Amino acid sequence: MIEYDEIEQRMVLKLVYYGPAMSGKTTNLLRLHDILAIEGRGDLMTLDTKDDRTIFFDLLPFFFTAPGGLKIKVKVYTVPGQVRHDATRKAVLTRADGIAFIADSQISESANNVESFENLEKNLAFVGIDIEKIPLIIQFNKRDLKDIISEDEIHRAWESTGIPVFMASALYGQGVLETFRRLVALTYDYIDIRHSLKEKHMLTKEMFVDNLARLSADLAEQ
Amino acid sequence: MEQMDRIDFSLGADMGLKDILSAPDVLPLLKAMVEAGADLAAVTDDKGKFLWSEGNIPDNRELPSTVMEAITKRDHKNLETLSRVNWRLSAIYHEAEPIGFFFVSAPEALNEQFLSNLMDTAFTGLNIIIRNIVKRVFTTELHTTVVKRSYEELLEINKNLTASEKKYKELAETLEQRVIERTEELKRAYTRLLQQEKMASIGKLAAGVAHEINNPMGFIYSNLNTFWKYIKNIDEMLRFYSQESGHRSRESEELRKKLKIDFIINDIHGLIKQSVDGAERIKNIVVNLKDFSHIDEATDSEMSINEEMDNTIGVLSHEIKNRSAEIAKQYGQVAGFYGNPGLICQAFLNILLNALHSRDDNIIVTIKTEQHGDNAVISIADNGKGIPSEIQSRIFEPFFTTKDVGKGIGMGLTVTYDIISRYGGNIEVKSEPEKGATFVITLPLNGKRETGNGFYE
Ligand SMILES: Nc1nc2c(ncn2[C@@H]2O[C@H](COP(=O)(O)OP(=O)(O)OP(=O)(O)O)[C@@H](O)[C@H]2O)c(=O)[nH]1
Ligand SMILES: Nc1ncnc2c1ncn2[C@@H]1O[C@H](COP(=O)(O)OP(=O)(O)O)[C@@H](O)[C@H]1O
Ligand SMILES: [Mg+2]
Ligand SMILES: [Mg+2]
Repeated sequence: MIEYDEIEQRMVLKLVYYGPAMSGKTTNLLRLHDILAIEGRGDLMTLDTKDDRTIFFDLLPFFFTAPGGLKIKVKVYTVPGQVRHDATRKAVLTRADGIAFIADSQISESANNVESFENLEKNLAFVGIDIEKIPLIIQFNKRDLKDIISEDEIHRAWESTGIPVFMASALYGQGVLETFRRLVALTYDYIDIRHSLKEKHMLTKEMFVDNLARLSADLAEQ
Repeated sequence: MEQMDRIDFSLGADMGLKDILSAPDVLPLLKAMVEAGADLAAVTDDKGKFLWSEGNIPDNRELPSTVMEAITKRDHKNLETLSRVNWRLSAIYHEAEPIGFFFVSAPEALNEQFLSNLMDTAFTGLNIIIRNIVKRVFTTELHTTVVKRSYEELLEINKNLTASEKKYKELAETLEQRVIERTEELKRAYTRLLQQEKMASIGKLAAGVAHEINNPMGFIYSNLNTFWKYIKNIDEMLRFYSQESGHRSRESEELRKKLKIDFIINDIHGLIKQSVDGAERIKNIVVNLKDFSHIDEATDSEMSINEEMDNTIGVLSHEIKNRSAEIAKQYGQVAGFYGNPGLICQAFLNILLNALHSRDDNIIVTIKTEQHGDNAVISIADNGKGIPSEIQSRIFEPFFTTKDVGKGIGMGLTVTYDIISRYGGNIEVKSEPEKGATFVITLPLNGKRETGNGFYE
């Protein structure tokens, strides 16, 4: 669904943080905003949040120009996790180029994770995206809490799907960057096949990832 | 759902500065800057061309040439450092992308600190305006998208609901009619069933009776013949006596007269003839019954309905001529029928016979054949006196007849009915008094093996 304008030399990509309510999607973007270099990164825009619950969506935009002159804008969205905002989720999911599914590690949230993942499958089909093809990764968040599903169990459950799984504690900034970098890398592969980023635009995967997921200078020094 | 996929729900379409801002959003700010002492305040696009400006606007309506050069070289990073003593430049970002510039210049005399402050304040104000507009646009866009999608979904649901409502409405409206139709159908089926049952049991009974009658009839018939021969012998003997003169006594003459021997001899002939005729008739009835019960011994073959009808008419030619009846044939194309030609002829014959007897003169029998789908439909109509509706249900019963004794035994239609049902067909009668009767036979052309139930199986 990549939006690509050959004449204008412009490409707009859309990455979506999906998952059940309260799993930490917004927190992921907040942390990314905190740790990533200001250059090429826009402000985090949160649209109409009520008591910390996303009602519309959050948006963290990135912009850079490839050595070949291609202007690339990457918009990272979160969806509202609450069941009742399904129409908004569909709208945000439309034309997505990559998805990070943020699951809540707490055992009590297992059913919600499953329900939300099924919702993702359903909505992807609805907006005409093939779940087998789109870059997709899973993050099990809130690893800092007690009564969480074990890592072994998670790997056992997801290994066969081939979907990359990450452990995170977004509140404390752990695993957030790793998740994002992998999502960005997978998205690069996905687009490179279709638009020859490297050949035509002299944009390598490393450059792509670094442009989007570059730590801010003071953090990088540590 | 498919239909809905065509609508583009994409969100957050790319916006340029002109998409975000409009004159009423920016001009008041620019004016205020000029009023505060600025020489020129301008908002440009990403190429440095003025979009909105106030104050001493240069003729070329663009940023100072040094800045324009830097822009062409795409050297955005260092643009802001180009600011001079009497002017300030700030890039405007939207979603991390530079989409334009904010420019302010002042007369040389103006305090440089004041210029910086003016720039900072105004630029912050501009960014707040931009951010709010973008949020509003996004919110509206999302809202519209969601509403549009919900609307599409509602439309779809509504369409389905309307369809099913219509279906149920139609159903409700036709329900009464359907109930009536179904009830009629059930009634007809039930009547047919009863009829079959009745015919089957009556038929069995009749067959038994026929058998019982056959044996005594055999000796009654032959005894009558023998008796006739005996009587002839006695008669001859008596004649001999009366002619023999020697034996002609007055006494015997008187006795002969008293006993009405001459009359008796004459009458015996008539009596015996009548008895033999009667016995003959009874024998015929039994033969008919037997024919009827031996139906299933027949062998089947491919035949043409039209040809068999012609054959049947041929068999009846004598009868037709005698009654100077008119036969109107309206044959259509009918595929070959698999069955026993003898039986089919028999079935036609009985109906034709009845038609020929349906009135005294000017008889017209119209025979129509045609094919309806997989069925042969044969209709035989007469212009006779018709069949009263109260007996229409009984005419197929064995021994049901309205004809005088000796003229009909009421087995004709029974036989026809049995033959037709054996081949999985059916026969119906339509008649109104004085308007003739029409018998319609429907025979399935594809079924090879007869399915109907005969009476004597
Ligand atoms: N302990 C712990 N709490 C977390 C973590 N990540 C997020 N939270 C908390 O979980 C709550 C919900 O986080 P959000 O990021 O707003 O969740 P969300 O997925 O955006 O939720 P919705 O917008 O309703 O879909 C907040 O109170 C966060 O502080 C984590 O790693 N550990
Ligand atoms: N074409 C007809 N027109 C008027 N009545 C008929 C006709 N065909 C049959 N019927 C009635 O049906 C009765 C039964 O007919 P059928 O079974 O052939 O016996 P039968 O001819 O020996 O009476 C007849 O007696 C007559 O009342
Ligand atoms: Mg949120
Ligand atoms: Mg008859």
